[in-house]
Parts: sequence; C-alpha cells; structure tokens
Amino acid sequence: MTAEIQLPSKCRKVLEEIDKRNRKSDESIQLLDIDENCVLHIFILRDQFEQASDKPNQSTFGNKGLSVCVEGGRFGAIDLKSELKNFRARTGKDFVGIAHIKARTLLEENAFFKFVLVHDPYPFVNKDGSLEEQPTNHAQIVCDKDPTGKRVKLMELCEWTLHPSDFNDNDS
Amino acid sequence: MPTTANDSKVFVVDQQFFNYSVPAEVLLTPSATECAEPMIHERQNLEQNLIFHLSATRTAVEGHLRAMPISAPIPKPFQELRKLEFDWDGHRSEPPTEALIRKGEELWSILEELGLPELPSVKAGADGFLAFSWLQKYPAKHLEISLYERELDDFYCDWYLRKEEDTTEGSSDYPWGEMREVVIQYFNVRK
Repeated sequence: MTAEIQLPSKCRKVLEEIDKRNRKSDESIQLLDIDENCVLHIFILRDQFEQASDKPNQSTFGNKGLSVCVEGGRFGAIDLKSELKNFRARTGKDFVGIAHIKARTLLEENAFFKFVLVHDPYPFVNKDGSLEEQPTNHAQIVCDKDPTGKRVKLMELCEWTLHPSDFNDNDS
Repeated sequence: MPTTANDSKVFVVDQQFFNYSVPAEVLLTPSATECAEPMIHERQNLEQNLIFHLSATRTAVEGHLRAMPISAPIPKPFQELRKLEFDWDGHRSEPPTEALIRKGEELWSILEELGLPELPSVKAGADGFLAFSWLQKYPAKHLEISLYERELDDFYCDWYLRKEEDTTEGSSDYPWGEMREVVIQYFNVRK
C-alpha cells in the first residue's frame, strides 16, 4: 500500500519516527494488514467532545499519525472500559470516550484519504524521559489530515464505541 | 557571500533582548578556504547547532510573546488554549504557539464584530492549527474554519461549509478576504 501512496513529508516523518523506535527492537517496520472487519478505536478527550453535534471535534483527527487501538483481525476483542481506564492512567489526560472507524469504511474511501496503517507497539520515550510501553494493538493511521474537509469526513465516519455519557469519572 | 578567508564573518546576534547568548561555534558563513576542505562532520555539527539555537531562539520569542500584556480581556476559548502544554492530547503534541493563538484571537474579534447569533467553539489541533466550529445546527448546517501557522508569522486558513446539502470548501492565505462572506452565507446575516 505504501508503494502506491505518496505521503507528504510531515507524514514521512511520522513513519521515520516509528521506524526509529522500532529499530531499537531489532524488527522491521510493519505495515498492518488491514482486515476489513477490523475496527479502529480512537480515544476522545473531554475537550474534544462536541455536545452540539454529539461527535468529536474535527480537530481530533488532525494528527498526521492518528493513534488507534485495533480490534478484530489478528487482534483480539477489547474490554473498552478497562482500555479507557488504562489509557487515562497512562497519559494522565481526561479521556472520556472512545470513537471508532471501521477499517472497511476507510479502505473504501482510501482513494480520498490516502492513508497507511502502521503497527506501532514500540515503546517511546515520554516527556519525563523514561521509556513507555505501548499496547500490542496500537497502530497509527498515517496520512495528511488537511484540509478541514478531510477531517470533517473522518469525524462523520466515526461512531461511538463508548459514548462519553456512558463513562463515569468514578470508573477510573 | 564571503569569497576569501579574510572575508569570513561571524554574525553575532544581539541577544540582550532575550538574555540569551549564542555560542561561538554558530558560524553562519565559514570562509571559502574552510568551505573547500572536506569537513562534512564539522558542517553537520554546525547545522545541528544552528537548528538547535534557532529553535531555542524561537522558544525565547514565544516566551517573550506570552509575557507581553494583552490589553483586551481574553475570550474563554483562548484562555484554555494558553493552558495547553506539550503532550496536551496524550499523543506528545506541541501546544499551539502564542503567535497562532493571537492570530486566532484576531479572527475571533472579527467574528464578534459581525454580531453573529452564535460564536464557534475553538479547539487546538495536533500539528499546529486552530479549529473554529459552528455545530449548533449540525448536521443540517455545518461550518468549520481552520487556522494554520505555516511558519513564523505566516498563516493560512481553510474552510468547510455545508448548508442545504451543498458543500463548499476552500483555502486562502490569512488574512482572508472572503471569510465574512462565508460566515454570512452560513448565517444568512445581512451586513
């Protein structure tokens, strides 16, 4: 898939960064085989949730390397609430929901999005300078998310896996 | 551009303003003699130093801008944006720069002057942009304006407007002359 898609330099930097972390583990970078039945989950911050539209704000999808948790295919089922709790604890951020995009939908729209999905279970150096592990089902949707219309399309394609109203702060 | 060793110059930036000193190894234009020699390693070091110090200078400018008093009351969305720090989104993103936030405030004040029935939500996006979103009538009507910082003091924006099943999109350098028309089209406001 990468051979067919010309990524802009900002996106190539994301791939290089993953590759750099990956090299420390002596493996070659893995592009994820996308089983069309896979579901790609995205954690949503409280501030990104728009009550008026009942959707994440389009800004949620601006990252050139959009982090997702992959469920299905060669990855197992996810216990959503515990994934969210773990992610809140790991990042210390106020994540309150999980949205998802079906891999099938993305694949059907890939002429428009021009993405690559890269498996990224490799640890990274966090802001405190210590090495932080990532879940084995972590991947990044790498593509240019500009212009705004592209992010709006991602926003509209995503559906709630765990709606913020179904998540209680006390759960964490 | 220097052509002989005698012409070689060291550009010393007056750093008193930032209380920050540029070390002697940051030479922007080595002499022709030096250039002629194969000093790739040294050249790489110089480039790395230069990148590092340019980055530090930008950080100093950012700090200075943040410290400058703002005369008008800061609208709430921008107060929130100023609180963002590195890793604000849990994915190691940088916060929006002060310059981008100020440009966003400028855009906000233009919107306020238009006397619109609804002001947008303003959110930061990873990779350095601000999203202005009108979602009260979503999905029937939807307007998004995104403001990006291309590089220092160089901004552009793009927009997405959906109304009555028609979608229009576009982009422009900022300041953007058509912005009022697009917003007015969304609201049907006569100005």
